Amino acid sequence: MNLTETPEQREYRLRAREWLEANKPRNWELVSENYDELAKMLTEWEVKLAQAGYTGISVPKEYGGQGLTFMEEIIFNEEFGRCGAPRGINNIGKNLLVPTLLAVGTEEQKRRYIPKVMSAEEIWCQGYSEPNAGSDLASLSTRAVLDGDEWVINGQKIWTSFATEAHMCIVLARTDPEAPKHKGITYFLVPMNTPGITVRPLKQMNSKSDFCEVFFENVRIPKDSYVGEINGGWKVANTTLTFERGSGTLGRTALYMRVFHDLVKLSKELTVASTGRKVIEESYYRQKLAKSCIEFAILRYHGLNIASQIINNEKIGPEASMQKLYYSESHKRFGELAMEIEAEQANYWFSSGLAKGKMQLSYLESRSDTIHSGTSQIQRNIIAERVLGMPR
Amino acid sequence: MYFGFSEEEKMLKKSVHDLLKKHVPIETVRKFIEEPNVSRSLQNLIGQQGIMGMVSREGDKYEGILLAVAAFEEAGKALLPFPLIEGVLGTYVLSRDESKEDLYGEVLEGKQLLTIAWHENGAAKMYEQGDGYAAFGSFHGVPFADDADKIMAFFQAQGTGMTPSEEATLVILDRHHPAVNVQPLKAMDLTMPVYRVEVANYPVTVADIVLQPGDGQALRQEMQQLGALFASAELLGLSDAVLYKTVEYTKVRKQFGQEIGKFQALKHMAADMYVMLESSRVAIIYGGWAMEEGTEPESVSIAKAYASEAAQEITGMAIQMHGGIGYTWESDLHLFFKRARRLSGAFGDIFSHRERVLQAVLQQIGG
Repeated sequence: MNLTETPEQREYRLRAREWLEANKPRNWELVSENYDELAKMLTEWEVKLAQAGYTGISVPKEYGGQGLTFMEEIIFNEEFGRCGAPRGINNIGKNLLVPTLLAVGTEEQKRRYIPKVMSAEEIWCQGYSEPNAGSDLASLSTRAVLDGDEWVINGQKIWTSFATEAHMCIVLARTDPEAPKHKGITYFLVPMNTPGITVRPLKQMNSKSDFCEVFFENVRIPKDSYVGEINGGWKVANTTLTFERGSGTLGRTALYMRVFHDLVKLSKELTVASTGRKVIEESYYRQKLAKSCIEFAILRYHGLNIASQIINNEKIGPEASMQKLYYSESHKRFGELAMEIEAEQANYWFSSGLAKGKMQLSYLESRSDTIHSGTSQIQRNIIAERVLGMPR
Repeated sequence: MYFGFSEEEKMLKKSVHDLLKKHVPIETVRKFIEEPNVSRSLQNLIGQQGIMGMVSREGDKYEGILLAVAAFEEAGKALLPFPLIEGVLGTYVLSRDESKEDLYGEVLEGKQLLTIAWHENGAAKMYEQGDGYAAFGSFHGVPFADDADKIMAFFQAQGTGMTPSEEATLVILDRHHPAVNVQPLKAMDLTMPVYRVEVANYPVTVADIVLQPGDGQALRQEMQQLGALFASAELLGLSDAVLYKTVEYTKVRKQFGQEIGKFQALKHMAADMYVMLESSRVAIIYGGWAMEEGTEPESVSIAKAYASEAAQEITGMAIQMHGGIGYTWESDLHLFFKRARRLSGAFGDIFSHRERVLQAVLQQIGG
């Protein structure tokens, strides 16, 4: 066990902390009510991060990255979470496309696409889920048919974040309808300005509408617009899942911890109506707060564990499902506790809410955590079958 | 950066695992329950392996905590019927007092069996008498007291300080002295026989005191902290054993014409158990590391609070997943379930450890 940072790593951390504190967007929780303003703010934020050298920290310099190690990457992620800033608008480009291309892309694809993600010039969105392919993603029915030198795509995608702002979309489409469902899918890179693409924003229960529906109607793209092999898209899509989980957990924990500390501060101010004592003086709430803190602390240990596996080149398997299940379920419990503590004030949000309505967003958004990227039920199936070897 | 056991710790873990698998299979534990005395052979075995002398301290930092954690995980898996936590903690405090070198060696080698009386019924006190003291006290839940050669207990040495904590003194009692009376208690956890110990007018000499009169409070806190971590490791081990045993059962037991492991209801229970198990694991390793480094003392409370709840959940869910057979005496599950219950309350219960975590949070955010 060795978790001690080198002096250089420590310095990198402190510099990042200072920069984030000076440059992070202010009052973004209130901005987030308005879609256009939110998108504009997140785009500006993304450019600022890129210009300061905080995009693609472990991506090789030849592709426009910073050429540092995974260690600096996770240190920055942790500081990013700690400062409470929103994620930039190009999450899909940075965390999904780039690692995928680095792992399985051609040299030409790496040179064409990665630098523009690094500079925040090209924003990416993700076309995976469909109205009839959610948990059973591999049953997706968007079709891509080769017609001369072009693929012709028809179908519909859903839950595509910021599709209105994106320049490019990763599209999973069926290229062999006769093959078993996992073996007939190809991973395409599609420019969003291609004729035949229509985007319709979708309002979510947190009142934001960063999710969109994307419709493809005879969308024609060049023949070489795919990554990996034709009909090998399922494997390509799964390449980066573990990387995303591995590097993201520590950042996520830092963010949760920040919000947790905000809740403790609220608990010191709020009075329990029925007893007249402060929330923080009630053993009932102290126990629940401690339980939540323990869950987040352990999430950090999981994050350190998986980061260590990546750094030491150990294999990361379906255990990543465990982290997804763990963080999403504990976040949900945290949101419920926050609402319980805010009591009759819990109904107010945004500018009328306590702490700018931050707890309401945690509460509502945690409801999507246990659904996106594989529901908690799907994660449990994966753990039971692939980790514990229970029969299918 | 590296998270996890070192090669040395993994090797020790494996050797303890192999040793216990060979010499303390579940049949041996079962036999022990019928005849609850520590077999001399088990005592010798643990002595020969030097399992008890792993922990040492330099200033604020410890060495060997993660080695001990690895060993305790295996002890938990095997439901080891031996006062190992008491042995490790007892030898550790003896190692801090040069005048106890002989006893230290004898306990370590398995020649003497040492236990610790953690729970006083009211205050245990000792009064100056001649060159030493006369000790009086009543204790409950003293593990393996009947078999023990030595019993460590805390007494307040009257007149050495202004408060009970200033008077706290750790004393080594001879179990066979006529002033020591040992009575068995009926306990749910049969893998750890416990006793009521009455001490009336026991003549304590200076040589029986660990360090100095009044050092007991600091020693006790340290032992509680170490004990909480080691108990967590045992909870982890027994949870691990129960989960995998249960998963195997779901692969062979058939109902409705198929293995019950095919049912999603059971898969989801097993998955939740796995998440709790692995979460306990990282918390305990982290807690051990933090202790070795002399930092974040609340991380031990994080591990203990979490592992205690997880182990009770896991062993309980295992009974449910086994169905009727899981409720029988014949099934081994109740042994794990009851040991989990006992350890959850040992060295601070969930409530007290959570409270400690919250106090640390309040300190961090100021106020």
